[in-house]
Parts: sequence; structure tokens; C-alpha cells
Amino acid sequence: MKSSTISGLLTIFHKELSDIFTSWRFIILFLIVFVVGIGVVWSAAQYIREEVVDAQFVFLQLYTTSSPLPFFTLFIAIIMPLVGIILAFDAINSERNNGTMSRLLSQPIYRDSVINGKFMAGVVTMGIMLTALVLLVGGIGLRMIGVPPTSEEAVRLMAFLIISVIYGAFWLGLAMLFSIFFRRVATSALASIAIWLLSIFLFLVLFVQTEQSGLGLAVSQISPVTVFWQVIYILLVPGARTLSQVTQSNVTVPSSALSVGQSLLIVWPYLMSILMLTVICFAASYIKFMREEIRST
Amino acid sequence: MNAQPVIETTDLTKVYDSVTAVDKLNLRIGAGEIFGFLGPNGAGKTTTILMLLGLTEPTSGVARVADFNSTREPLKVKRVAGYIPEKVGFYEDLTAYYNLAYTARLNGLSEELVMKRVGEALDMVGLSSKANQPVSTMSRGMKQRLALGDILVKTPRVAFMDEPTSGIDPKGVNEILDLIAKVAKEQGMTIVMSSHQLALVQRICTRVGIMIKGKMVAEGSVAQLGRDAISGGRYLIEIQLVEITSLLIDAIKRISGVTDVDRTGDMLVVTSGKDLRPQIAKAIVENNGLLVRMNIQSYGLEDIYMRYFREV
Amino acid sequence: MARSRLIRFLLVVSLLLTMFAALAGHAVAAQSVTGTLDLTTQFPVLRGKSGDSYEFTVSLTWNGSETRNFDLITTLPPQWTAKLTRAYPASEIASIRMEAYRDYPEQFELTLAPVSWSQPEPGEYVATLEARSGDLKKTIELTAAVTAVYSFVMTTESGNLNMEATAGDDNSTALVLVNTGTARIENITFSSSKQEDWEVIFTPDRVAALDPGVTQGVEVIVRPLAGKTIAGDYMITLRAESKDYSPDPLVIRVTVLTPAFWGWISILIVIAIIAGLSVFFWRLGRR
Repeated sequence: MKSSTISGLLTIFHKELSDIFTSWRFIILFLIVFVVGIGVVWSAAQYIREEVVDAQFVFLQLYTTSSPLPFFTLFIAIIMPLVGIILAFDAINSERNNGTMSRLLSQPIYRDSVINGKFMAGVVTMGIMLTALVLLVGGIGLRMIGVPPTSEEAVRLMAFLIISVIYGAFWLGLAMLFSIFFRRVATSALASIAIWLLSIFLFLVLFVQTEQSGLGLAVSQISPVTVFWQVIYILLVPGARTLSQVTQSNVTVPSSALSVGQSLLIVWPYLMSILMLTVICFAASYIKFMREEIRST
Repeated sequence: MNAQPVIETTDLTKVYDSVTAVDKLNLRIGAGEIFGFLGPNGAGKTTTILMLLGLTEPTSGVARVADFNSTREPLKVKRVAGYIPEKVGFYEDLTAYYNLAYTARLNGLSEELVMKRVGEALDMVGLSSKANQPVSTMSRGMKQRLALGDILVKTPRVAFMDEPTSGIDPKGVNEILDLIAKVAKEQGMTIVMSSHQLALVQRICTRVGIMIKGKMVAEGSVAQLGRDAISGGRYLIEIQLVEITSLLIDAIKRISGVTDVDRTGDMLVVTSGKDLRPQIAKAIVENNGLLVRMNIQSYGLEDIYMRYFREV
Repeated sequence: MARSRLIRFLLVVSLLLTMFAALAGHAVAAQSVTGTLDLTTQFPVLRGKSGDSYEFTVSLTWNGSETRNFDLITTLPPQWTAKLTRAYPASEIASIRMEAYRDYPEQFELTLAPVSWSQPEPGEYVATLEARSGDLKKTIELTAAVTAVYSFVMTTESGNLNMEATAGDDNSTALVLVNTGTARIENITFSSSKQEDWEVIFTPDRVAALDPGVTQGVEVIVRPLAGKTIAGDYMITLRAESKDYSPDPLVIRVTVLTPAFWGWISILIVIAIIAGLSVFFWRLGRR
């Protein structure tokens, strides 16, 4: 029975992955993300070449320098939710509406395989997408600035990649939760997009905010985008220590850089909160889906 | 009925928010039967099927399919049972072949077996030529046939079909029903088919059960049900005469076995315990009556159905 | 008419008087030299670079009892010229007339200059000035001490002030030193202002001696720090220094290119990613 569980999960996973990679909406999104991402980093590399920048952590600056386009990390913070939403907003309700769900569930598979397989496919897709993007962008950056990343920079980039995938998984989970709660695909899509826009709005409050410890800052912390961005910023700008530095957009590394461990220590609570949000979303989806009875009519 | 039923329920009950959908259902269906599960919408047919498949947990009672407890071992049940839901759907963008192959893979078949089974199933339902077309190009009838193919790939012992004929034109319905009958025979499948289209279903069902408000009100062959339902197991013989006289009525009443004679217009309805047409004909002739027509009433499911509805 | 006759008479008288005076004067000198002739200068040795001119201020003193004309005669080292001028109004002079009993000296300038085409070797060039009037004469030595001109330039051989470089590699460019001065320049050393951690190496690292007019090639190797240097443009300043002279520094724009290795790696990464994604799309696209 054990092997059949896994084979069922893998079959669903493979099918979902296939679906994603053959759907136009995903391919278009994929291309947009790549074109914009590369553009952003290309412009950052140009900037690095022309301006005198701190020679420390040059490679990381590819991802954190803003000029004149916003930096890569900001782009990821804003686009990853959309990727997650597009991958999952109709995951369950469209199957239900199309009448494929009950046929699927009548096959000898555990019910959670369906949601696990879909979630896995989404996470793997985002992983592939981000890894490819970060590497591609790194490759182009390497070509342009001619400086390879140090091992420390590589570690930081790796952490960035993993955290970004977790962050994307949160949005994936949220959209999936909505796709279970709302029968209509349009409703779940709108609900997800609304939360995304609200999060971005709250995130932007961070920039409008001039005082360091105002109400705006606190309000902004509600947004997962803000939380994620803080983590990424502190991680990829080794000199950054606090949130106040985060708001001063493209100020580069101040005097003493932190070690990877220290940076991680600072972001740990934020990182945990992203992870918690992800787990909560997925768990809620899971429980709702598992408890939901299949009913006639 | 075989000694060991393939499907068996014991006091199966399902209560949704204090509404009893299925009420202490006891059902036994033997191997090779095509069981017609009849009843109006909301009678609890689908709920029963879902409980048998282990997709819904019963409030109380036990459902068993092929000796597996549907609630405790749903995976084993799903391995041997195919299910065509009422609004069966496919991945519209994908081909017919892929849709069936997906089912086959979910059943853990190896890739060679997937190709073989899917090919056979498509052959059987006559969709081989459409194998590589997206499902979105198919008509409702084709999809229904594809659904049949979908359960064939897992070569089930039992197939549950929820309203397999709904939304299909009459010609298509006959095709589907013939196909189901043929497949059941060839594969030795036990089929449970729910429907509210009685007239159509009775053509192929070896046995039917009528379910109303969660209860199985009647069960048996169509003919038997008809008699049970309308005349309490007795025969009704209609006689049309040129002229009805009391003498004639008395003569019929005197025939042994006749329990009642009713006069309605120019018709006489004779109730009896068995088929007494020869005796009645003889009595009419002997009393100089002029017989226009005499027939024994047969009961379609429609009549039976109407009868039960009235009761409820 | 009477008036013109008077004028004619006066002219004759004055002429006779003049002649008499002249004869009388000569007779006095011949008889006895009274008074002293002196030729002095406060600064008899002037120092200057090669090619410079040297202006001596000379005083001539004559307090004799008769008025005399003194010729001024200079004796010069080869390829030197001299010019005698009085201060005001400026004009060239060759002799001076000194009144009798003059109690103050006459000052004039002697400008000693090498001929225009000549760059005199360092050393002392002695010119003599003689003031002579009949038997009376006085000589003074004026010395132009020519010191050496220390001058050299540093340029790139090609004349371009830019070069391309690859981080971690030895990127060389050729410099030339030319002694444009008159003296041998000894012990020229090199230094550079550059990005931190870059290496700039001069070969040879010092030039022991550079004779006037001689050209010396110097190779400069610029090695931007491997793995840390961002591709792009940088300025480096190259300096040559010696005890006697240091020319203007040379500012060179160094265009750092991506090292070939990382260039290839980056291309490989991009190709691998595109290939990987293509395979992914292709495999998953097959149904």
C-alpha cells in the first residue's frame, strides 16, 4: 500500500507539473518573469560597472542594486505571489467544477495525494523557475562584471533561493486554500489577487514612511511581502542589520558586514513567520480538503 | 442471487445535518448483476454509491464491496470498483488517451500495461479513432462512452454508474445502454446503475431497486415489481365488450380464482391470482357476450414509479 | 651782412679752441696718468641652466683728470655671445665716455648667452670684459656657471592613454622614458596609484641612469585583482621619480574585461539553463 501511495502521488505530481508547463498562462508568466528579471539585473550590472561600488559582495549587488530599474529582490518580492496565485487559484475548484475531482478521488489513491501532488508540483515549478532565473541572471551578471561569487555569496544566494521558494509556497498555499473554499474559480482568483494587492500596498507604506518607528512601519509588517523583503534584504546586503536600513533602498553596505550566520540570526524570526504562514495555509487547505465530503448534487 | 454477494450493505445510514439521506439500507447484489438503482432526485442513490465507494463516511451501518469494508479499506474498494459520477468530467485540454492513461497510472499500472489497457478500453467503447483528440472536441455521448472506457482501464469487478444516460439524446442512450450491457457481459462486471429514467434502464437491468427518501421501497425484477406495486402481486385482466350485462359479470365472478370484477365504462377489470384469460374467454362466449379485446395488464416501471410516488 | 661775418668768425675761433684743447689734453695724458680706472661687478659668477642667458651688472669707475672714451671689449668662450647694454634708455653700447673727475661709476649690463642652437654643457664659462682707453685698461672676468637641466618625459609607446586588462592576468603596456634635459639622470624609480589590491609592476623596476637624449623602454604590467575586480573602466596613475626631476604622472584608463574563464563559465551557465528548461518544457509537454 505504501508504494501505491507514492506512485499515486507521483502520478498526480507529474500530471500537474505537465499541466503547468504546457499551459499558456504559465508559459507567458514564465517569459515575463524572465525578461523582466534579466532586464533588472542587466541594468544593475551596468550600474555596477559604471559606478564605484563597494568591492565587497559585488556579486550580491547584482541582485540588490537599483538603477534605474528597481532591484531584483524587490521584483521577486512582488512577482512571486502572482506566480503562486496563478499556479493554484483554480487547483481544486476547477477540478470540482469540471467533474474530474470525483473521478480522480474514486481511484485507489489517498485523498491527500491530490492536494499534496498539486502543492508539490507548484513548489517544484517555482523552484525550477527561481533557480533558473537566479542562475541565468548570475550567468549574465558574471559575464558583465567578471567577478565570480565568493563562497559566502553563494551561500547567501542559496538561502535567498530557498526562502523565495518558501515565500512562493505561501502564496501557492493561500491560493489553493481559496480554491478549496470558493466554488467559483473567479472568486478564488479575485480573493487571491485582492490579498496580493493589499500586501503590496502595505509593503509600499514602508517606503512612504519617513519615520523609523512609526505606525506605518508596524502596519506594513502585516504584509507578507514586507516580511519577505526584510529577510531577503538583510540576507543579501550583508551590512544591513535593521529594518530602518531596509527602507533606505539602495544604500549599499556600510562599514562592517555581518557573517552569514549573523545575518541569518537577524532574519530568523521573520523567516519563521513566513514558514509559519506557509504551513498554516497548507495545513488549512489540507484539513479543509480532507474533511470536505463529496456530496451528491 | 449468489451465496456471496459482491455488494452488501447492512443498516447503512447517512445523516446530513439532521436530514436522513440514506436510512438503514440493506442491499445485496450478486456477481454479474446489472442492478438498476431507481428513484427521484435526492432519494439518496448517489449518497449510497459514494458510501459504497468509501468517498463518504456512513453515519452508521456497514457497506462492503467485494468483501472489503468501504469505510475502513476505501483504497482496496477503489482498486476493484469503477465509478462514473453523474456529471462526469475529463481534462478538456488533454486527449482522450491521456485522460484514460492518467486513470491507469493512478491505479498503479506499469507503462506497458497502461498503453495496452487504454488501447483496449478505447477499442471497446469505439473511441479508438478519437484517442488523440482533446476531450473538448467530444460530444456528451462520446464523453459518456469515454467515461465507460475510463472505468474499463482498471478492469474493475464492480462498476458504479451515476445517471449514465442523463443529458444524452435517445439514440445515444440506447447506444450507451447496449454498450454497458455488452461490457458487463464480456468483463463479467457487476454494475450498479442509478437513474431516474426508468423506461430506459429497465431494458438492461436484471434487477432494480426503487429508493425514495433514503429507503429502498421495492426490489426485484421489473415484472415482479410491477405486480407487487400495483396489484399487490395479483394479475389484472382488462376486457372490452360490445355490451356489458350483469349476467356476464356474474359468470366471470363465478370462475374460480377471480377475486374481483370492476366495471368501468365499457371495460371490465378482472382481478385474479393467476392468468385466467382462457377461462374468462370461455365464460364470455358461453354467455353470448361479444368480446372486442382482452389483455393482461403489464406494468412498465413508469406505472410502478407513479404508484410509489403517490404513496409517498 | 655784418651778422653773418660775426658767426663765421666765431666758428673759426671755436674750432681753433677745440683743436687746442685736444692737443693740450693729449699732451697731459702722455705726460702723466692721473686718476684710476676700475671695472667691477658685485656678482662676478652667475649660475643658470643650460640655455639661459646671464646678465651681469658691471660698474666702470674713472676719476681721472681728463675725459676719456673707453672701449669695451669682450672675450667669450666658444659659442657664446655677449651683449652690452645700458639700462636707460635701453640700447646696445660698445664704448663709454667718462668725464674727468667723475666721482660716480657708470653702470651697464653685460648679457652673456649661448648661441641659439647650443645647449652648453654644464660647467663654468668665463668671459672677460676689458675696458680700454689708450694705455689704460682694466679687465674683469665674468663667469656663467651653467648647471645641468634635469628633464625627462614618460609616455606610452603607442601614445594611447588607455589599455585593456583582464582581472588576474598580466596585462602589459609599454612606456618610454626620454631624457629631454642636459644632464644624466640617475636612479629613476617608479610608483603608481591604483585600485586597492591591484598589482602594477614596472620592468625594469628602476633605471640606473638615463643620459640626455636617450630613450629607455619600460614595461608596465597591470594585474587587477582576480575574482574581485568588476569589469569596467578604472584610472591608474603611473609616476617616475628621480632625485633631480620628476615628470608629470601618466594617467591611464584601464578597461577591465571579464576574465575569459568566467566569460566561458557564464556562457555555459546560460546555455545549461536554457537547455535544461527546454528539456523540461519538452518532456513535460509530451502527453
